[in-house]
Amino acid sequence: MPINKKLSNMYYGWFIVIGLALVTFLDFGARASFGVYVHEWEKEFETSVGSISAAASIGLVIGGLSSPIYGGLIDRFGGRVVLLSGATLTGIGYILLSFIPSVLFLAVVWGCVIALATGGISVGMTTVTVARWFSRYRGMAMSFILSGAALGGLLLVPFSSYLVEIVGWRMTVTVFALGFLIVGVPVVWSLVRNSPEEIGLEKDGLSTHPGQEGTVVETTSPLEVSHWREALKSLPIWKISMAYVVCGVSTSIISVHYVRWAISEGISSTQGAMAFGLLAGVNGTALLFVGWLSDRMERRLLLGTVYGIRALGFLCLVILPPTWGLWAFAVIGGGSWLSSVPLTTSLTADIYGLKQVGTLTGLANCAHALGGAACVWIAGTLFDEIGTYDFTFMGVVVALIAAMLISWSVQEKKLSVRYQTSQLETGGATAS
Amino acid sequence: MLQLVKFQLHHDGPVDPVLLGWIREVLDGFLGSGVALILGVGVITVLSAALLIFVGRRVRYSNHSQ
Repeated sequence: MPINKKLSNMYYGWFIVIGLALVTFLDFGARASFGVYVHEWEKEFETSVGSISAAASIGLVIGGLSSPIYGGLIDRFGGRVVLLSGATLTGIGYILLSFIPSVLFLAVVWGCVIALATGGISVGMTTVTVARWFSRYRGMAMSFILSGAALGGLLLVPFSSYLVEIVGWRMTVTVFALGFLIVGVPVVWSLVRNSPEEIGLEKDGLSTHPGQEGTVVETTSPLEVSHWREALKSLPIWKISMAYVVCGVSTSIISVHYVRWAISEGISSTQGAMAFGLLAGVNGTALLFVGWLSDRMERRLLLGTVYGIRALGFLCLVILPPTWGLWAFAVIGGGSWLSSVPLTTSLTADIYGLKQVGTLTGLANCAHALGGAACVWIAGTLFDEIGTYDFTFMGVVVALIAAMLISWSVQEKKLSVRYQTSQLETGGATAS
Repeated sequence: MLQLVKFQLHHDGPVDPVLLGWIREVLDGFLGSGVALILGVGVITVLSAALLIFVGRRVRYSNHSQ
């Protein structure tokens, strides 16, 4: 049958991408649902939001610090074992969460066990795993995984909110545990392999036979490293990481302070919710478009443009009337929200090669998370002092413009493997 | 500390309890008790995973034999 034949000819790497998008969907949805349980825990454990905060903060630190370690493990052992362990431990972690008797156990289970386990299936690790399967379509593959994250936040938070009302929070986290154990683990176990070479394939599904149509000629970039410390001696990794910290700062500040800003500006709850929905929807669509585009143009130009567009979104919040600013930000900001993640990872892989991309991406993710957390605190303190977010948002605009210029300054054509000699031979003729 | 936890609550998806309340106000009008959403999301997730594993394994063998 034609459909069967089409499916059979489809490159296997895309099935890994779809599978990991499903795992990311579960992971993001489950973690973002934390907010749903806060009031339940307050009542049941007779505790304060501050104590629950402490438990969650431990998770923040552990999750951020574990990122480079998981990256190093992927570089050494491959993505399959790390993702499989991460998905299994996450499922076990959510089962443990369903039994906790007090906020102290919340700190142990959420702050340590689940934070450590989910680090193994974070987007940093899933995108690094697929980086080994794709070269020409790397941007699209990574963006597809991130779209699973966008959808997870959008669908699974209301899902768990309704479920808590019907069956309570313990059964809700058990449902998530089962989701990881009967969906996540089998998907990773059945589909994920470390590299295409492991099952006799090549990146992007191209052939290695000389002279054959669509033949890949392996090339390396001038800065390809065999140890991550070597990368730190070159400029591009610092430029990419600095811009990525600004990414963390901008997304975290608006994520945390969105409600407070909306209330301070007199935005109605319905408008706030609908603008959030619009932002999430635009985000998912834009991710796929940016991924597709990034395989057809210089990634640094696109990355810089994404930061520039985000700067425009923040500027709208400051200079437009609140309601207009809100909708403008939902569309403009949504268009650039998660797009920087696949662009950053793929650009790092293009410049430094695949041997150490796990550790390098892990380090960048760590800086992204901790830098974001610090600036969230600064933004909150500033608002308490002066009663407006205008100065904070203007500071973010300036930082994003700097990130845009820094990203544009990466010499991608000189350093990326995508632009090294002729990578693709098509039936004897070559194309770069 | 509270700012830090708020960050933790949101850094994987900007949904906090207040925003969730706002979203629920809008969604309740469409979904009622939310049972349809729960069943729909649950069933689609499990079925798509099963289908993906089944088709994916076939494609892997097919890719390999080619």
